[in-house]
Amino acid sequence: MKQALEALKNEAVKAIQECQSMAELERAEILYLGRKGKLVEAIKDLPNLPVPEKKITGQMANEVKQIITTAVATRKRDLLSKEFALASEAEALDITQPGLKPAAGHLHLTTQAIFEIEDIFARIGFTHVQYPEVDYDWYPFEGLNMPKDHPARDEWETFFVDAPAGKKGRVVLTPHGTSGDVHELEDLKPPFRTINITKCYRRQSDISHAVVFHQFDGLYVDTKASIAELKGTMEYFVRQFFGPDRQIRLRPFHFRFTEPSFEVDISCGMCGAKGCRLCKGGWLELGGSGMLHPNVLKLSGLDPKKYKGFAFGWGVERTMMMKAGIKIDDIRTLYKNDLRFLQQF
Amino acid sequence: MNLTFSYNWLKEHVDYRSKPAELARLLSLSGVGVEHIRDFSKEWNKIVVGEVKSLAKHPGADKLTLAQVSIGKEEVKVVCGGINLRVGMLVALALPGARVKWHGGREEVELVETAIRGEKSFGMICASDEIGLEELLPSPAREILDLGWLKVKPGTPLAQALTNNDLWFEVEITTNRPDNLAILGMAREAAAVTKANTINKTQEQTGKILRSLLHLDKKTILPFEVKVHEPELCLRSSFCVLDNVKVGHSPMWLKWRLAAAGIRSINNIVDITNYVMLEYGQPMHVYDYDTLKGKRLEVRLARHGEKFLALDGKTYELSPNILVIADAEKAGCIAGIMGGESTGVKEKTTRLVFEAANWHPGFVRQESRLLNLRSDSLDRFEKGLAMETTILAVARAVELAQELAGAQICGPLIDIKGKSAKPKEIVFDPELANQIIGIKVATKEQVGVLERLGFRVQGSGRKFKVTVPYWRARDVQFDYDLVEEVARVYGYTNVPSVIPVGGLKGHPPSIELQLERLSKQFFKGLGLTEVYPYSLTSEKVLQPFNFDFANVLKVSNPLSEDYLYLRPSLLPSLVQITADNQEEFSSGQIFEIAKQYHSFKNNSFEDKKLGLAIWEEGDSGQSFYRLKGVLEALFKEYHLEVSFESNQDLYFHPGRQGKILVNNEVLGTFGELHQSIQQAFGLNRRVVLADLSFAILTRQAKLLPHYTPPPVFPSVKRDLAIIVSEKISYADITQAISAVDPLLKSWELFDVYRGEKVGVGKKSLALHLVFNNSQRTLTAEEVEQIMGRISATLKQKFNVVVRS
Repeated sequence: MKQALEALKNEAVKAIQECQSMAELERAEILYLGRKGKLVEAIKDLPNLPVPEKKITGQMANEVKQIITTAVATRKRDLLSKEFALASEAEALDITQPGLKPAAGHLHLTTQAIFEIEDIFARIGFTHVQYPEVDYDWYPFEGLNMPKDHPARDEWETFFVDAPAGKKGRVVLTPHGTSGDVHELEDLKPPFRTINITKCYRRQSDISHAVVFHQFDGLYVDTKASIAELKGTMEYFVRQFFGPDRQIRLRPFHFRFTEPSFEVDISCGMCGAKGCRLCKGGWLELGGSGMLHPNVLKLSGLDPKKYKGFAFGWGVERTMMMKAGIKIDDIRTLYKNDLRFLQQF
Repeated sequence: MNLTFSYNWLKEHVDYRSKPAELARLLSLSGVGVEHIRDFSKEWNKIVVGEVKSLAKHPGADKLTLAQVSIGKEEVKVVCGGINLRVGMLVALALPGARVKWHGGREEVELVETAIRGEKSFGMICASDEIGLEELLPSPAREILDLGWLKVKPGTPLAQALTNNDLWFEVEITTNRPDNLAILGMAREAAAVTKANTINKTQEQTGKILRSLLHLDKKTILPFEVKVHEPELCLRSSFCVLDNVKVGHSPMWLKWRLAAAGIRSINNIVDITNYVMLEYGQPMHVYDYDTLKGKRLEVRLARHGEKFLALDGKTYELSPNILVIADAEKAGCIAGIMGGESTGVKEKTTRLVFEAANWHPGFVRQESRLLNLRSDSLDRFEKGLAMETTILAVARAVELAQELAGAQICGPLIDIKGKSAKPKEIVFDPELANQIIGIKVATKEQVGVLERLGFRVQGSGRKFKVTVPYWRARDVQFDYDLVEEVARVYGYTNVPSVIPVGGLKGHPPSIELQLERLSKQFFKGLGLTEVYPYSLTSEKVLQPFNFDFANVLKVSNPLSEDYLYLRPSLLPSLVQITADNQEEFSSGQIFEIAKQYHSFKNNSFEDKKLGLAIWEEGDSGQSFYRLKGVLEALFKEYHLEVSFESNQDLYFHPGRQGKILVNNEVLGTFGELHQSIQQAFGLNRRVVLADLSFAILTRQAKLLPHYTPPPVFPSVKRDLAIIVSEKISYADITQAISAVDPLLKSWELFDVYRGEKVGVGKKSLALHLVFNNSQRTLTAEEVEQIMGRISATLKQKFNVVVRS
């Protein structure tokens, strides 16, 4: 029996190593190790052997089984890796072929800028608010210390609406976001910090003016407020929006609703504030700001002795277009709604 | 408003040492924005004064001459076509490298050595329009500029010879500072920011003349009377009569200073009035004395229908809303705006009346609006001028007329005014400035700034009395105005930046604004492109939609027909955008969240809306369902239970539109654009639109729904395929099956088929059905039994054929 086992072992290992497919290997495994296989057949007389011999032969049978099993496993691994190699080659894909396109939507550049502005101011506690675009002229003018017929009104090329005047004056399309300040002063209880982002309207159309455009207008009202805080707020925004190395400067200006009033300039990103074709001596004009005029507080029913504040109002598009890289030279491009343009962003 | 002035003129009035660029920086940082500096030594680089030494005929061209021109140390040969060339002439010679405009063309070119008809030319002898001097020194056609009157050596740079190397400063003057629309105002600012002294020599001289004019014998050699009928509107007026005037050209220095401000030279007398306006900021007018009927001037309201031929050559019809200065018969000047032709100074004028007045700013502004007429004078008067300058201006004009036109004074200065106001005094606490600036500025420094600006400051500690100088009487009203003066001259660059430290409520934005942002991002995620049309639109775009124009807001002063109406709906814009893009995009999905407008209703003129438009190639109804799918995805995102009902908007396809209801509120409508409108916009394919109220969406949206535990026991899925008449709607089917058994939890349509296989007028629908029992595991038998009942119900109700 020992010899028979030895022969079976050699035969089986050889046969297994010669198997060329998984199916063949499976058949060989059944042939040698199956319930009715050759190994079982070879040791069917084992129980009848005398005890010492039975023990030795039994051990040997186990070893043979082990060897055959290992041979099967080894051959299986070899065959599989061959199979995978073949399959991999056959299934290889062209990695240079373009991927399948998921649905790709686009937000308008103005929206993207508004989101960014909203987020930057939210981080220092300014709440995004919105007020009417079609409004009574109290809000953009009288309430902002610009009485009827005041020449300062001419600076805003205002559209009037063919609608009956109300208690708060004639109906206009708001020419600036600061009109929202008057609503806030009327409605909210200090202290508050708000950022009003709204459509504005002016009778002007050229490469830097669109009849409909957007402004963001910040308002800060508290028992104390200083130019230093206004400057800090402006500088914070500029560095968040344009980059940490940008500088700002406040240039005195005149608005009826703030005193003192400023224009905020930022250092030119193109020339590093040295002065170039794009800027004025290294500076670019961002927009207006100032300390709330006591009359404005008074007109909205707040005591200017008790409250102070500051406000700033800038063009969304202008601010966005000043960001290096976009290179849009005509603001009206934004509102032509050419999908070839919109889908670039 | 911007003012451009001669830098050399400014320097006559201030004693400072700063370089021009440094002065510009200091002015800009303290309130007078320097927008632009024109440097003539740069502009006229390589243009020098040359002296023509000899002339020879050009051998190859009859109309050209060869000139030898001295430029000091050397002579250059130049080919020139000027017909007035002669030996000894001083000319403007542009050398290679200079920038000139060929024959007054628009583009500047850089001059190079060249050969003209075979003769080399090493420069160009310039005509005045070739170096931008056509206004100032006009020369006839084909003539070159003759600089014979200059007393300079050949080779002197043109800028030095002609302008003493002047610069033109263009500054932006804010509306509150008309006192700065004058060289003397600019001198005060420059002195304050450079801590220099003003030079008051010319003003002192003018002061002397003024005193002598005021003390002249009351009797005038020439008869002249003034009567002011409207003292409320004419706050002050000053006059002086002059004789023996010789009207002629102004000297170059005067023309140059006017040219800087963009004012054309007319004659020495008119130029004097403009010069005084630029110097003192006080507009003036001058009359030809001999043309004045009755030898008098009256300030009165114009008569109804009174005609007035103004100096701009136009005739204006006046009314009692217009104030005029008239002789005994007719108006000679519209107050504050413009003089008239009939009494204007002409070449032959020998006697004249200078006038300087102070008009009610609001009234002259109203005049300007009524007449639709503006002028340099109005630009100043409407901002409100100082009362004190009328007499100074007249005295200065008299002084200049004596100097430049040989005028003789023939009477005292006539000055008509109401009661003089006392100089304004303001109580000022330096601590207020510290609080508002946010940093401590030494009281001494604050006082110094105010004094340099011409304020008189008395007092100590926290209480000062500040007297406002007459030229600031209108704009400095209260202590905040003084704080601004201190702050701007102290310098904002010296103020630290501090993040606000006050109370912080930190409200979140309104739900509507949050939802607007979420929705935009959601649509972007679904592959839609956001559009931003103007909210102003044209009749042409609205008209096909047949809106009721009674409710459409109209702009009463439109910029153009394109921006006449405030759109009453987002849909026309979306359709227009679709039409504009159809050539390049055979399919597209766009959205907008914006306001639409209507006549006053519910306390507002506007509603926020959400609009969608979808179009695609070869559309036979897919885009309708594509759009509905987008809407359903949105409703799912906001956990809205909506139902769709039929709808009848005229701008939609009658058979392809619906209304969206949520909790009995109409959230919006959607549908395919009516073919007639499609044609009106020239659209070559169908477009499906949605129009939703953003306010209702906001009210109904649930951002955080109640939690529903997932089923504990496994669900069983079965498919149901039926053939049914087209007349039966999908909702009919789902309503019927939902009533069969509560264990049917959900269903989903996954296929619709129409065609030969199912027969005409029929459709095949296939649905996934999901069954679940929350108490135990369902058995196959149970589900089969329910499926059987579903089939039976559908067969009985709708006569469907159930396919297996």
